Amino acid sequence: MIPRRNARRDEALTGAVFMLPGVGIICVCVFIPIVLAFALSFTHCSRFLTIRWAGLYNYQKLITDPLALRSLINTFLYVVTFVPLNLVLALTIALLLNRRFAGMKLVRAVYFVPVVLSMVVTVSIFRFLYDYEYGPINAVLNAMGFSSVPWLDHKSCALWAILAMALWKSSAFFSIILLAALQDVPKSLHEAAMVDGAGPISRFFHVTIPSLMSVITAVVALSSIGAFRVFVPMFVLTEGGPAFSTRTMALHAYKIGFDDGNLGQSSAVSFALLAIIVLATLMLNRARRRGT
Amino acid sequence: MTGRGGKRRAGGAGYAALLGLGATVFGFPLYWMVRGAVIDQATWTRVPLVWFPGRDLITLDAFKEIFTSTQFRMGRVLLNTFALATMTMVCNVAFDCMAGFALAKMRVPGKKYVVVGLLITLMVPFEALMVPLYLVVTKLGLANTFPGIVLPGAASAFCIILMRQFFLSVPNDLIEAGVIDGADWGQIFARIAMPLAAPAVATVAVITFLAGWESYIWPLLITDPHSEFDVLQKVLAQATMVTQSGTMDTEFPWLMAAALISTVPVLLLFILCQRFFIAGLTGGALKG
Repeated sequence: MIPRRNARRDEALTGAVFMLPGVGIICVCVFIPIVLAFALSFTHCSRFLTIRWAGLYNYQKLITDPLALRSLINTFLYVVTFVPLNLVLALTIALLLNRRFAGMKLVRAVYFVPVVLSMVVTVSIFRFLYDYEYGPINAVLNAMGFSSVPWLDHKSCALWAILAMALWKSSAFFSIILLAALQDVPKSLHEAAMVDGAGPISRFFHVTIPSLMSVITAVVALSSIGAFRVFVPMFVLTEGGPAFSTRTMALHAYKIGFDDGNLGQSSAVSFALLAIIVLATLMLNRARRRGT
Repeated sequence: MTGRGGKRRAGGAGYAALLGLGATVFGFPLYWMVRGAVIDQATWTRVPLVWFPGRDLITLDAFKEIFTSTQFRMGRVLLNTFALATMTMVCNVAFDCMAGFALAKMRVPGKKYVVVGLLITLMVPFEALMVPLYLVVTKLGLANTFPGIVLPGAASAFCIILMRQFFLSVPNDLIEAGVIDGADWGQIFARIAMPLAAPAVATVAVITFLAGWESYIWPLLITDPHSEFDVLQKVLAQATMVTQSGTMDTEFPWLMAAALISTVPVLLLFILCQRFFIAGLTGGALKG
């Protein structure tokens, strides 16, 4: 039995060595930062790492500080508009593309353009599409008799302009997933419904949607996570302005952490964001398990 | 069937209009990027707008200028970006496959907990860890270094799980045959498991190369504003911010030329490796 035992030990040791680099990096770059954020969120901590215990002060500030509250509200506003619109758009696109005819491959390729553009490239292009003087969107508006809109420079529309861009970027991505699922819906289901006299609309709600339910939940889960963590568009295009109308939680955590050097407060914001996302994911996973 | 065909023709015009509208919305920004890259600043700022620049207005100067401009330093920056993407890919392929294999096929005490831990990290957004991660990597003395830029992306919990799922589907007999033949675990991994996993490995390679190529926030945080390790996305984002605040004379076509250059490899990968791309996307969708 001795050689066998050695083999066992050998296997466990080699296995641990195999896991070490990958799991080690994730420990250092994910687990330790989480623990650190949690610990720092209970302290006053400056950029020089002078640490003073603060209790729940930083968490209180999440609600009492107007700017923190503003970023919380902006984030939720963004998420609750983004998620349903994204789902409706992605589903519409998937249905549009779920037909076969000559040239459909080319059409699909055009629809999937957003998927190959990185976020920064997208942001850069949209900065010029939204341009006040030389932007094509304003040019079209002018041609139709409307006056130009300062898309990114006015507090009433900056968040919605960014939202439209984000929808452009992500709805195509999610429609790929939905399209794949649509093509897996058994034809026999539709045929059976047609025999029963169901029209296209009734078939859509009673056959298509129920068979897509688990994928739809996945799309909602993924898109809400993506919306909660939104950072790059605001960071590059508006820096949270004008009048803090595009300041989101991720941006707020960045600004007070790196610009103001208030690491304790920043950690509390980060940790709150983390908690919200984990909670949302768990809730949606639960809904999904119950749904299927 | 005749009824159905008739209906389809009746809905045909509306359908075509909707499809065309969608194609315009999704295709136009790409066109605007290409248009912007092949004209000069004077053409760009002409009123009324030049929607379709004629042949006499088209110039490739922007592409030449970003290579000499001190703001873009495209030669250096491209090299950095390529190095970052390649390094990210190589590390991930090595580390994620090894970890995935061990988690799927080797008896290691406690590996259950490792899997649960990895699944938990899938929920954690990078954006919520920017500040503490910055502190950790800075404490390690890796700020402003190439390893510091690569480190957080050098292993991916998602790809480890992906590889584990794949290796779980490999029959145990194949592994045991290797054990009986007297091969050690390194040999079993390299000679038996990895060749079988080629499609999954390709997916990991494509996903992680792109992640490296498109990474922006982390290189921005961990390097100085005008560092020798600047990557494409960082330079492009900085230039975009500058044109937005109007503090520097950046020519608009430069930005679109840089954007175009950064998109070409992604497009090539997409066309060449579509299968792995889609596998990665849908895999990502079904993980949650």
